[in-house]
Amino acid sequence: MNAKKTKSRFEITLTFVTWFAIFLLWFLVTNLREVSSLILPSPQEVWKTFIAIVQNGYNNISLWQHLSDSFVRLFWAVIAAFVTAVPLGLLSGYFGKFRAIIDSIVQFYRPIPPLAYYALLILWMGIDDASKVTLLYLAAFAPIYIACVAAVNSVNQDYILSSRSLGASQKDVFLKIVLPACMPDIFTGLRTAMGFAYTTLVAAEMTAATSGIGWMVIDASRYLKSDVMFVGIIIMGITGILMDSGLLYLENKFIFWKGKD
Amino acid sequence: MKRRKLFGWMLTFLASSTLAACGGSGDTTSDLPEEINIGYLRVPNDEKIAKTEALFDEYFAGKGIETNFLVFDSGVEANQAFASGSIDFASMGNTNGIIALSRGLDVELIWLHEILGEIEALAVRKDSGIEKVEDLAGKSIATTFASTSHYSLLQVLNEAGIADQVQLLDMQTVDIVAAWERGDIDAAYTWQPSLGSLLENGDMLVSSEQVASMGHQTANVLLARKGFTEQYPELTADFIAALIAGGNLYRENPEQAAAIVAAPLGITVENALGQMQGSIWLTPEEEISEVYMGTSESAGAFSKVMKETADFLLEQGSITESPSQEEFDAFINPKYIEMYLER
Repeated sequence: MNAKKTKSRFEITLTFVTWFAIFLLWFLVTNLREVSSLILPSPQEVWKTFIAIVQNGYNNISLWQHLSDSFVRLFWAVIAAFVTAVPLGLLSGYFGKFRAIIDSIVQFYRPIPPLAYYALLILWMGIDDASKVTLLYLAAFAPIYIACVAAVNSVNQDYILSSRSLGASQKDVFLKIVLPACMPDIFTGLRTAMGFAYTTLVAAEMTAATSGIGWMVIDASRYLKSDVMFVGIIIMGITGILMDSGLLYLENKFIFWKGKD
Repeated sequence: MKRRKLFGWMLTFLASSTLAACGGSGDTTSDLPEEINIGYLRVPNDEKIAKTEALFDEYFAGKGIETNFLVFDSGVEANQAFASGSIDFASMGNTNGIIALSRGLDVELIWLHEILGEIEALAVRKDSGIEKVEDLAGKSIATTFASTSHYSLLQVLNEAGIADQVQLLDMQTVDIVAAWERGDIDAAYTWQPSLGSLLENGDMLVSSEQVASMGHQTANVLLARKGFTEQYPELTADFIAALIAGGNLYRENPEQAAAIVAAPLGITVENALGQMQGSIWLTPEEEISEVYMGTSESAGAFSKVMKETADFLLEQGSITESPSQEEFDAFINPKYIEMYLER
């Protein structure tokens, strides 16, 4: 027990040391060497730009507005994906015929890069948020769906057979055995989906957006504002970690039976 | 303890190897380069003629130099390629040339492809009821940010006093056409050949020719990487020679020149000719006149145009600092045109 705690403390230290080393390296490379700030802005420049953006916004829009616009798009997409992918995934895992219909469609579009069909989404749905949210939705749907199908298939068959022999109905088996057993995997799928959707955010905000953290990075790249790009990327990285940590916290709090067979 | 020691060695190795990588010089000097990387725009200009007619090969193929052409949707991508050192020459709008200079890219402006006229314009829908610029208040207008179209549009809106009353949408040219087809946008300021698609069911409200007459001239320019031009000045003059040959072909036979570029651009010959006539093509003598680039001894008026444009972009917040007039004078380098004329 003690060894385990020491190990986790060592791992935490290792994480901090790694990031300290990265920042130290970044500081040294940009301050001791003749590296153009266009190629690699120094931590001081990035910090200064971050403060300026916090105080004055970017392109006459506050940083909080950029963040909230992005997160509204992101959360609508992930919620819609969760609401549709979970039932479809569970049904596909539970009923072979259902899976035959849905699975091939998901497997077909899943490997296609979002940018490949984004132009089509714009043609079909216009330049407003509908096409952006749909793109993020498609990115988030597949991981949740696949996690659900896999979760149903990995449910211990002994539990199902035992409950059936005790007179449980199909509905009872599904709601009281299959669903709780699948919840840990569904949450893992949700975390993966959030990551997928977040990585697609920049692509979604490339066309006809006027705000959003992804748009901020794209716009800065047009004017070669590397410092702003770094600020945007770091913000996206940190908020991504925070979102994932939040989901992990919820998983540990509400799916307390995870890992207990 | 062993683990800590190993970790320390790994960190030291990582730091030293990264610093070494940053400090190492990648320049190898040879008589001639193996290849020349050229970024171009999908517009019917001297470069497009020279590329399609393989005029560059006349100067480079015989010397064993391969010419690689990369198409860019706008100068934004060209600047990113310059920043990474991936290209030697690139065409772009002069606004992107300003961005390149203001961000410290090691490049110089060596040629003006064309002074923009009706090749770039603000298009509105035929049924929109928009008859003058002021009617655009409350409407959504698409353009490609950081381009000459964006700059011209901002000037037009400023002159009309409605800059803060419209919604500007940043789009690539292909997306502008798609949004126009769907009816998602009320107007768009863009360039040919996309502009032609919009004008099929739209009207030209203002062209860059009119914007130039307001005192806001724009141009498509050629930027070159200084690392290349300084090492290979003769090859740079050869590059200019190929462009001049393309321009001469247009001046001698406009219809033939239009036919040359029409197919690769996917437009009709009539359309191509109209586009080519929609901008001013300069002779090498005109290029180095005081009206445009000037000479190595005396800067021309185009340097002042660039400075005024830069000041406007600074005011708009597009760039963080406007280069000085002296910096623009040094940035515009007519030396290679002069070398060509001395041959």
